[in-house]
Amino acid sequence: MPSELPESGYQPDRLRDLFDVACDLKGPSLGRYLDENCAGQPALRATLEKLLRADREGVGRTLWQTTAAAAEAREMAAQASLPFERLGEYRILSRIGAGGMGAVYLAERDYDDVRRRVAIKIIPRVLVDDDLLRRFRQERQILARMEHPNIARMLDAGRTPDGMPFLAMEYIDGIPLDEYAAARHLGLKERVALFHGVCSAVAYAHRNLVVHRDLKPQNILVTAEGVPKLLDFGIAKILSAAEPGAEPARTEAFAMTLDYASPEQLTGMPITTASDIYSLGVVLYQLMTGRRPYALASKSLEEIVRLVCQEPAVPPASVDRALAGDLDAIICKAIRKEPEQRYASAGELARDLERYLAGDPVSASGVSFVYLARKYVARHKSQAAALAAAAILLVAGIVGVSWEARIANRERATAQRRFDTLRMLASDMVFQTNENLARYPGTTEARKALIARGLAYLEVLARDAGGDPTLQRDLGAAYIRMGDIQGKEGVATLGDWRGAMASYQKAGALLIAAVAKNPHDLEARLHLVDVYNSLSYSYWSLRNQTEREKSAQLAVAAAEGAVRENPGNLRARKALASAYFAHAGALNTTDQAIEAWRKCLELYLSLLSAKPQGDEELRNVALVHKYLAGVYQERSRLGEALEQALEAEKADSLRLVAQPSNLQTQLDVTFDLNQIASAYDALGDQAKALESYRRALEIRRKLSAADPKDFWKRERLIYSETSVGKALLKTGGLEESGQHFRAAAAIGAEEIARKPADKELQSMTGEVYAGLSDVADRSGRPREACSWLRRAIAMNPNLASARAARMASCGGK
Amino acid sequence: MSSAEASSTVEITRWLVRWREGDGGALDNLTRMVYAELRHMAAALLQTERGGHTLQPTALVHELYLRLDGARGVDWKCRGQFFAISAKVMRRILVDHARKRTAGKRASDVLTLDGEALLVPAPDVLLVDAALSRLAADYPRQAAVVELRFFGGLTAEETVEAMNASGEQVSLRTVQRDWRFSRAWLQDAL
Repeated sequence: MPSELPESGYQPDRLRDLFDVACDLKGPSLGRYLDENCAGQPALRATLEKLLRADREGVGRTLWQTTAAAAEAREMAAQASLPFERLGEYRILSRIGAGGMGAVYLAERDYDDVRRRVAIKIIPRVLVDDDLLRRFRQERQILARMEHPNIARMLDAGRTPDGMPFLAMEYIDGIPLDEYAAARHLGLKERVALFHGVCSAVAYAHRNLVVHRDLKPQNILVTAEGVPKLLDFGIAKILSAAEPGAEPARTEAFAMTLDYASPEQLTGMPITTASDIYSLGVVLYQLMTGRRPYALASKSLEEIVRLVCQEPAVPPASVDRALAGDLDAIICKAIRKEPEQRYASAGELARDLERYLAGDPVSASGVSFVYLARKYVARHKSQAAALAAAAILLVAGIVGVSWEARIANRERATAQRRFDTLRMLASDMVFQTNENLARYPGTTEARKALIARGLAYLEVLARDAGGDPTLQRDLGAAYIRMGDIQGKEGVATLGDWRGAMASYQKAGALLIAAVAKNPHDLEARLHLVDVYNSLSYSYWSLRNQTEREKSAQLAVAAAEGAVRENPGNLRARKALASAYFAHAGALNTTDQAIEAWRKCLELYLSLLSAKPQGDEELRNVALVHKYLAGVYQERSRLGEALEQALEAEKADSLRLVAQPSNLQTQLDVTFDLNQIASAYDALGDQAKALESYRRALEIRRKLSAADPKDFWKRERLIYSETSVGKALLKTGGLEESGQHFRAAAAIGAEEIARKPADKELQSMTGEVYAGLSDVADRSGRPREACSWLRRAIAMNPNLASARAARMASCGGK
Repeated sequence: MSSAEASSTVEITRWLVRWREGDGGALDNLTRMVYAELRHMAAALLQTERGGHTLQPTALVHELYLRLDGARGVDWKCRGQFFAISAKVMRRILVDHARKRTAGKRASDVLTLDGEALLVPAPDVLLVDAALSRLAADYPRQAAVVELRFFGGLTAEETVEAMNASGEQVSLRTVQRDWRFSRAWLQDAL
């Protein structure tokens, strides 16, 4: 131990290390740990215990809230005196709290000689507008009718002398539900019985068509007699902005307690009684386990939405074994993500609780949590689609409204700023959501819906972009990203190449205009390179060679312009490399192609040396090696071809080490393997060729199974099955070869039904049929061989010449 | 986006890239640009009555980053550095704003906060700032984590990026543990 200790008597690091371990310990093991490690150091132990207490209290609160609570406490101390003695008819007695809704005062008023105590909530101005009183009047009849022993009645609304709106409601002298249960050490059944009263109150309100929308323990007070009382019924509706379009969604989304909010509340979907059921479920969960289904503390809003909408909750029974069975089932049914899967009413939930208390079988049981979770995962795709759709609806609404506002508003600068913010928010939502979805297999449909809405929204913006080069540039960039998602070659794609091209062309038009007005704008130039590159690939996907070469040349020209303007710039260099890449690819197998590939490789290797482990850098190097291998092979320079293919696999394998489950990298490796196999095949090493083809096939089967709607992966799978089939033909594995061809034929037939005009697909499928014909022929089944051959030639007439003899022997039939 | 704003974000990207390419002097310029831009954005938010208060000021850092990264060129190290700078800058902006407000004694302002997202009196930014400085005396790394997450609004993962970019090699677990420790420490101190 160092000779000089700080004043505190211990080293700061020691405190931190002890905390690190102790914060995960509980009960006796914590006590033992403290005894062992703080022996003879009372100051250290005291500080550590203080921190651990703060840590426990801090659970479920973010740092913001922690500091807010501190600030609030100080403010309350400072404001011990009351601001008013009277508010209208009410005599203010004391301040009883300062909660989320602002300050709360205890007051009294004489009603027909009966002195009645009321709680008066003064609502912060930001929460309300001048319509509060009007909305209260609209609601008051309904609220006044709500008479239930478990509901605190809303009585009145008014304004303070300084103009702050206030609400008066029945005063409840009680403590929050969870604190009450803890303080009285209630057992399981007692807690359920207490909660049952809450349910019947909510059921009553729902029958009166009043949704609470903000149910949480703090809104459920239990009196000294043990009667739970619900506060704030109807307040959410009074407080919610009534005007459509004015501060849309945000106010709504933020004026609730996220910890208890249902998935539909978080995603801005319509809120119904089912949302209250969900919140009730969370409250019950917390009442029974002491925790909430999700740890949302200090999470970002995005993260909270993801957890609540996508992740299965921790089953209550796994928090406390005593809940296993009925209670677990009841809570899980209440907090189902799909509103229609929850209890149909609070009454039904109450009845299940009654059955539980009586020991009768409950309606929720028999469906285990595991079952629900598994079912949920199966439904995940549609859920994801719904989430995406919700995000887009929100976006479209915001953008539409604010754009009009921008034009109409006299305060143009303000409107502009708001518009920009919303545009950021919107485009972020589209792309971020897509990225998130793309990481999970099986989300193609959801992404399609997302992109369709995103495009509609870009359309509106582009129409109104006018001559603003900056806006044109940004929109151009957005169109490129849209196009990439629709159908970028080689990337997990929606397979909509024509749609992608339309997007790229729109991007090009916008960017050319932007560069013309603002020639020094490097960003716009780089985007333009991107557009030409992408167009070149799209034309390749559509088998249009002339346009492909033309676009590639334009890409190189645009990139050279960018490098000329910014010689040392890394991104300009990257752009030039990528343009050469497109260009070399377009030149096919000519000498110029080899030259262009070499130049391209040189550019990418220099970029890689600037960032040796970079995934993108490695991928580019691997790609160039691979293409170079292909060209060499076409030119029968087989040794060089194999060498390049092996280099490619080496580079991609490095990437796979860093990210073993990356789908793109896995797909990339299969291309390397095929290239290697093809080189071995040409060199006459059939065994090695077969081995590589097989490795590629194995990976592709997995990739396609994970996302069966991805056309690109299906097409690649056909190719791999065919390759293995062909290689087996050469090594003599006839029967197994037939199996692979049949697998390929099945996929081919399905895809052709979906895309009858796809020539490449037909030609690939023709190859498969020809393979089946070869297998039949070699197995001594000539009639079958003829039948397959006819089908092959129907698909791909080029296959006829190689099998002319068999064709002739098959004769006219 | 007005073209003045756009050109300043292009400028920020340029300085980021120059810093990345080894120009040590770029850092100063970068900080200055980020400060100007974030202050501009924050001012716009803090002035508007309703919309302003319902946004988290810390979301600005992400928002600015998005503006910068229209192109996909900036690599992770730049990103981390940008976040690291921005969190510091955001802290300064919020503290300045709080100081001015205290001087003008408009204590009734309310802010919507993340997490529970209820309307509560503005947390005393000055209080956090002071406590954080005290934390930094004994626990510099932990205080850095709080600065990034609290003022920069970064996720734990981004915090790792930002710290690594500033030369402090930490793991995600370290950041999470540091965050938990600091949170308890600060809550106790406050």
